[in-house]
Amino acid sequence: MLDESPRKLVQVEDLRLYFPIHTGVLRRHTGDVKAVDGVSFDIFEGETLGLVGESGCGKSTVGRALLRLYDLSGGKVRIDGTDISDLSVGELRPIRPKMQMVFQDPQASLNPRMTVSEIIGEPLVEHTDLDAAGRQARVLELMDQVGLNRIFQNRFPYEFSGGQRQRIGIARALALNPKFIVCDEPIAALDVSIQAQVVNLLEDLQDKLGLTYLFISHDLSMVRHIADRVCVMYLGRVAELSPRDDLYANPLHPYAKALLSAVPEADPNAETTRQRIILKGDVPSPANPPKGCAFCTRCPEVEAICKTEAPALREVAPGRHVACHFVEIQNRAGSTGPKKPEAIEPNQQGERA
Amino acid sequence: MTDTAIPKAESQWVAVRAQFVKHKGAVAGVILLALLVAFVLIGPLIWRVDGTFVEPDTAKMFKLRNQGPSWAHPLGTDQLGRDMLARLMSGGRISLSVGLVAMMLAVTLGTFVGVLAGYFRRLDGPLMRLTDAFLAMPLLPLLLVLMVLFKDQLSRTLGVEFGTFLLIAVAIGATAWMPTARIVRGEVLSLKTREFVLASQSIGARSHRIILRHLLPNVVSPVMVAATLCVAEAIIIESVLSFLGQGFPSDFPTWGSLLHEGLDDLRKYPMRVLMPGLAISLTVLSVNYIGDGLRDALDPRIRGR
Repeated sequence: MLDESPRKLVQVEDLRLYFPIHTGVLRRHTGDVKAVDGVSFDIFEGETLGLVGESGCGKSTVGRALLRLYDLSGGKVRIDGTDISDLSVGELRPIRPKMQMVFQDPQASLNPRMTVSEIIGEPLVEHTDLDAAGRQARVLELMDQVGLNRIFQNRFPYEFSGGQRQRIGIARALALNPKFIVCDEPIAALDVSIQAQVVNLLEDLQDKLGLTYLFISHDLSMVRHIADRVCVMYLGRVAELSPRDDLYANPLHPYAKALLSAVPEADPNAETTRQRIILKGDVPSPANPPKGCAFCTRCPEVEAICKTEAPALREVAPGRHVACHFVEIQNRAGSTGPKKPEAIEPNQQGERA
Repeated sequence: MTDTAIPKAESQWVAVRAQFVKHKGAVAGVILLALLVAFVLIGPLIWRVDGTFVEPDTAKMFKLRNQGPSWAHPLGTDQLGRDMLARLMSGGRISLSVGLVAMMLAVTLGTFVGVLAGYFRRLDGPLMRLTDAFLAMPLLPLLLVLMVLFKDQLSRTLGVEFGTFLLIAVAIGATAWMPTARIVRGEVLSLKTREFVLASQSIGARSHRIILRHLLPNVVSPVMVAATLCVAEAIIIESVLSFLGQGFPSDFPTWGSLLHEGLDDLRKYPMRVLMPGLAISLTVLSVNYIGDGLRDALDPRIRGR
């Protein structure tokens, strides 16, 4: 594959997901919680797109909507060229192996009454014709891949530590050779040393198998480590979508600035001079979002137009998309240096292709 | 990777049995239930006295009435001079089988309704209203009406004993499933939001596979508890029906009907109530302990200890 034109594996256009609110005696439909409200982005083959934002901004909902675990309220999701937004459960089934998910809570995502080999083998039972011996061989291969000792195969999830459980979850996601994996805060429930192990495992697997990740997290430093591009969400909308280095060096959207100013610096000298932008107030309710820009109630740079008109997501610099009225279209690209459009970090999958 | 030999995938049932055997109460329960079953099945082969035999000579019959324990009648006789031991044996057959069959029916039906209501949102409303309707109905009159309507017909086609047995077991099963359904629905509602069910959905597993693989194994514990309670209830309901004259005819003794017959002379002859009461209690107790042991044995977290 040529590095100049990476293929778009996942295309999301104007994704909307509303959860209806029913009130009153008659349970009348009186409104919607707009969990995801018009989100668009693409994920290129072999890259990792980080999806960050505070709790309740719709990150996980986007991830689950991409796998059609919810019925979409609007918009299109294309995976590997197939539009999956309107497919029925039956039509979706043959496409499922291409896309898998790693869950946040490794305790809750494994059935306590199944052994490790049953858990990892479940996708194989559903989608392949392998007999018991064939399944067993594949399960052992997967356990090797994620660094689980083979002798664990007949144990139950409660016998494992959090990190090992997450490895079981990853092995299950890999069982059907997927192209695209949604990692829904896979490290949030783990302690720091284990987080690094799991993230490194995910990176190794990406290199070896040419996987594409949507990495959902609220841990900004971990996203900086693993992601090629980062999408910052606020209240169900995309605030900024930029290549990782550009975003961390020079965030453009006021919300992205505030979010990144909260990341502690490892260097004590830099840490003392770090300017935190403290946002005031609370996140508005997604059931009743502000009329204009979603961020207008808390933005330090708010103007009159922000309260009436919602800004569109514009490409303001090569590869950098920002939804803000006041970010000028720029070509100087400040500290980021000239980059090719949609440049992604060289991922070793080129060697395999 | 170490080169340690991979332990052979030993069947889970081996581990389940090992844990079950470790549970002392469960083992005692199994032994007790086995003794009771042997008592009602093998007992009549050894103690060859007819429990329905009434002395035709009235004078002799009066002498035989309400006797205490003796060599001829180890548990004494009842108000018609019939041998209590023989009556307990043949009564136990009916009571035990009614209790177990009705329990299985009720638990199966209740689990089925509960899983459907909990898993499929559309069925939740109708099925739960049906459950409420059954709970709101006065069950005893309903059972009596069922007996009156179908008993004769079934007795004629299937024979008195089997026909009545079938009708009673089915009728009790069909009116005792509601608590199980409610418990199972609640469990399924909370289970289906767990991430392992979501993971299975994201694989594209079909609903029936998710139910069989992920939901049913995880509702075993509450179902076990409901099931053991159900056995006792079924035996008692059967006795109430017999007492009201709509269960088995009086020449087919059951533990429940023996209890009720003895109740009139409770003060003078307490043995006549104690014996069937003890039998019912022991059955319930043993089933309860077996359920307890099974629940523990089927839970891998407890099994590991």
